Formats: sequence, C-alpha cells, structure tokens
Amino acid sequence: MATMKCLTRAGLLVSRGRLLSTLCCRNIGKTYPKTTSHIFSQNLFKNLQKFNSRQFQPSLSLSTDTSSQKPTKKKPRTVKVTFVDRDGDEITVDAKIGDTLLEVAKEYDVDLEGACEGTLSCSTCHLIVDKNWYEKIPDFLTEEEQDMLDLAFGLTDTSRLGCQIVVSDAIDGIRLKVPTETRDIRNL
Amino acid sequence: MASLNYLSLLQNSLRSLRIQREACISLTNTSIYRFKSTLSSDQRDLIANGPSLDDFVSGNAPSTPEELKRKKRQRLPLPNWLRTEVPKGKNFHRLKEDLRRLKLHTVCEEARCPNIGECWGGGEHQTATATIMVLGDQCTRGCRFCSVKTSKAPPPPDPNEPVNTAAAIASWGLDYVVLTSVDRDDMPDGGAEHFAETVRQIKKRNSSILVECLTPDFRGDLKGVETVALSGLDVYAHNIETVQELQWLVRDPRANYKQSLSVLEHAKTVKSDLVTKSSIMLGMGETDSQVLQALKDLQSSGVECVTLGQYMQPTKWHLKVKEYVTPEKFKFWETVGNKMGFLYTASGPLVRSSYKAGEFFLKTVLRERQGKTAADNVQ
Repeated sequence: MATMKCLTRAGLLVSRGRLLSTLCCRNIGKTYPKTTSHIFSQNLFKNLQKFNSRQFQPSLSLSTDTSSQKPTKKKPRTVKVTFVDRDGDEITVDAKIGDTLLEVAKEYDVDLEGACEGTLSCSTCHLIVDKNWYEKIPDFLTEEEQDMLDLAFGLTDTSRLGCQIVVSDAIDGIRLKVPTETRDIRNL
Repeated sequence: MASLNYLSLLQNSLRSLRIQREACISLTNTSIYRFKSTLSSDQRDLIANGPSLDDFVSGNAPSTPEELKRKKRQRLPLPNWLRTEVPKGKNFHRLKEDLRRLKLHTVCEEARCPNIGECWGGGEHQTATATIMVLGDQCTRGCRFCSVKTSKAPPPPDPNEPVNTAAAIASWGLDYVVLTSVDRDDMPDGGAEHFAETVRQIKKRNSSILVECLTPDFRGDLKGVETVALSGLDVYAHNIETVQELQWLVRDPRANYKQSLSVLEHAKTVKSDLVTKSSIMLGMGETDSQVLQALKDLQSSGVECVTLGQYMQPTKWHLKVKEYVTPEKFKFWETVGNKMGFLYTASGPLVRSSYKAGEFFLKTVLRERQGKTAADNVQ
C-alpha cells in the first residue's frame, strides 16, 4: 500500500512538473521574446525531474524487475449490458464494474439524459428494466428514488433510475429499455 | 320504492348543483374572471378557416440538408452560423463583478447561453444587458434541454434578492429588462410573490423601465400567474419550449403543453393590455406541421410575440441535437409568423426568448399601448 502511495505521489509530482512547465511556456514568449519556449520547457522539465528524484526514493518492492519503469495498468472488469434505445435499436456494451448505468450510457453514446447529473432530483435517466432482471438488481429501490420515479413519463412496474443502479456481476447480461413515447393518460 | 327515492334524491342534488353553478356564473360575470373565451367570433373564424401549412409551403419551404441531421453513432458538428466569439471586454467583466457582489444569478451563465458575449458586452448601439434569474440558481425540475442546476430541495430564496436585483438594474441604466426564474415546486406559491416583489422594486426605482418576465408555470396554479401578471410588468412571457408531440421528451413531466397555454391565456385574461410572449426551440426532431400547429395554438391563446431558436446541447448530460435548422428555414418561420398576424416574430438560430427583447419595435408598441390606456383612463 505504502509503495503504491509513493509511486502515485511521484507520478503526481512529475505530472505537476510537466503541467507547470507547459503553463510557463505559454507565457514565456511574452516576457522573454528571444527565448524559444521549446528549449525553456526542456530545461525546466529536466530541473524538475532532478528535483523530484532527489526528494523521492520510491521503494519499488512491488517488482524486482527494474527494467520496467511503469506499473502495468490493470484492465477494469466489465460485464455485458444491453440498452434498447428510443428507436428500438439494441446496443450491447461492456460496462465497467462500479459505474452507474447512466455513466455507462454516456460512455457508449446511448441516448440517455441525466439532467440533475445523478443527484436523484429528476427522472430523466428513467430506464425500464427487463422483467426477469428487475429482481436481480442489488441496488435497493429507496423512497427518494421512488419519489422521483413517480413523476416519470411512461412509468412501469419494472422502472428504475439509471443513476442509481451500479454495475456489478449480479447484473451481467441485463437488458434495459430507454422509455419512448406511449399513449400516456395525462396527454401531455 | 327505495330506488325511486334514491333517484329523486339524485335528481334533486343535480338540480341544486346546477342552480348553484348558474348562480356562481351570474355572480362572477361582473368580476374580472371569465369562463368563456376572450377571442371574438371573428377571430375564432379567422383561426379556424385561416391558412394551413400548404398555403405557406407550396413546395418552397426550405428543408434541412442531410449533413445537418444527426445520424446514429455520429457526432453532428456545429455549423458555422452557430459559432460565437469568446466573451471578453470591459463591460463583460464589470457586469460579472456586479452580479457576484450582489449574489445575483443569471440564466445567461446558468443555462450557458451562446449570446452571453454579445449581450453582456453590449454593442456599439446597445448597452450591456443580462437576464437576471431570481429565486436562486437551483431548479426543482429537470428538463432534458436545460443545464440549470437541478435539486430536490434548493435553499430558500434570498429575501434581499428583490431589492438587490432592482438596485443592480437601476445602476445599469437600462430601459428594458428581462427577468426570469427557476421552478420552485418546493414553495407553496411557487415563488410568485418573490417574483412579483422583484418587479415592484424595479418599478419603484424607475417607473419608466419596461419589464419583461419569463415565468414558470407555478404547477398550473393560476393564482401565482395572477400575482405576477398584476405586479406591474409589461410583457408576460412563458415558454412552451417545443411542439406538443415532443413535450414528453423535452420537458420535465411536471410541465406540459396545456398547462403552459393556460398560463398564457390566464395572464391575458387578468390584464388584457399585457403583451404575452412565448418561445419554441427547433432542432429536436419536430416536423413542420407540428411547429405550425404550435404557432396556431399560441395564437389561439392570445400570444402576441413568438421567438424561435435553435436548440443547442448545453452539456453531455442533456439531449443531443437532432438537426441544425438552417438560417433560411428560420427566415421562413419568421414569414409564417408575420403572415399569421403575430405582433412580433423573432426567428433565428441564436435567437432566445430574451435576446434583443427590448428592440425598438417592441418598445414602440408598448409605449403606444400604454399611451392608449392612459388616454382611456383620463376619459
């Protein structure tokens, strides 16, 4: 844990240094017109790197292999989620575990909106879950969610809000429909 | 026997109800409330037998080219007529400082209006103007086109807001100002009294300023509409936002077409010399006949000014643009509006409800109307 912390902090410093040098370079042309920003940034970055390496001695006890500089990025685990959009087209996507269904829809360009950005204040991310999957969703239907759902257009018995369902293994293969116009008794 | 008695009881109760209703009508006939339509039979004939889409179209209506319509899985690029300058300049920053100092919000910032640079910067001939949004910056509804913050329980409105707003507007020296607000379904009157108080404060400081209010629908509570309509404003605006067929998609479920039209009708009923105004967004997948029907419905509700603008997606969390309507098509709608007899049809891709609302034309109309009412009162 501590080593991971060290590594990330070192990474942050280096990236901060890079950012700082880019920020400086943008203005350098104005104050020092004769200096070329390219050379300036290189020097600045080199100095920052030296500074960083002096301050930090991260113990790479994770791997004894010193040739690999970067730790390997773990690929996030995904499950299959199927959206049926407003035109009736089916889109099956690899949803990352831990994302909400609204975030998944945004990532894969599914036409689902989230006006309140997932704060349980509207019903724009209203989704109709397939009957056989409704009971399997581990996220409990809270009263707040029910209150918002009550206002939604085209409400069904298996409706949920997309911002409240978190992707997990339990819903691998879930099918959801984005509600579209139906004959609503309110006759909006 | 028992059933006969029951039947006679029922008949009696119905009769008494009818008598009561007739009494009510006769009593209230003398008041400002009317149960019948305020349009004359001639006006109604004109609308019913008036022009249809064919009269305007005749094969010449411009249609959107395919490259401006969004296809599945593809990003629709912004056409050049919608690209605006980055806002900057002395006026812009001065306005921003004034607003922050007085803790005021504007719909210009909250809803990410593309005209912010132009309106706040002022032009050569115009002073800088902003549309102040009262009742806070958090709305209780979440509409799919609007990026104003949505919250289930926004904080109570600032009690100094009416005075601060009036002071700011007085300091800017404007002669036409537009106010708007968020929806406050958590307040018992929907915020109507706060809104009306703001208008009164502005008029107190400068009685010659023309005030336009873009109001919410107060959840259909016509008392709220009346409160604002009688607060002394000059133009009462409420947007239907889109055609009837797309209301379910575009607006929050608490808002609907008939409710919005009733708000506009009621404002006119309560104060007949009010100019009423409404606005539609294009580019969400509506058809020409749907837009024409919406314009006709607005006219039947007594609306005199209409604005049409292009919907632009404010953030990634909102509805995607279905098509970018060409400036020629907007010009076409302007012609349609003028032919239908609206007092004022503002139509263009960047036109919004309060964009250049204080144009010379409108000001002339209002002053003329006020002059007429004053003359009537004298007599």
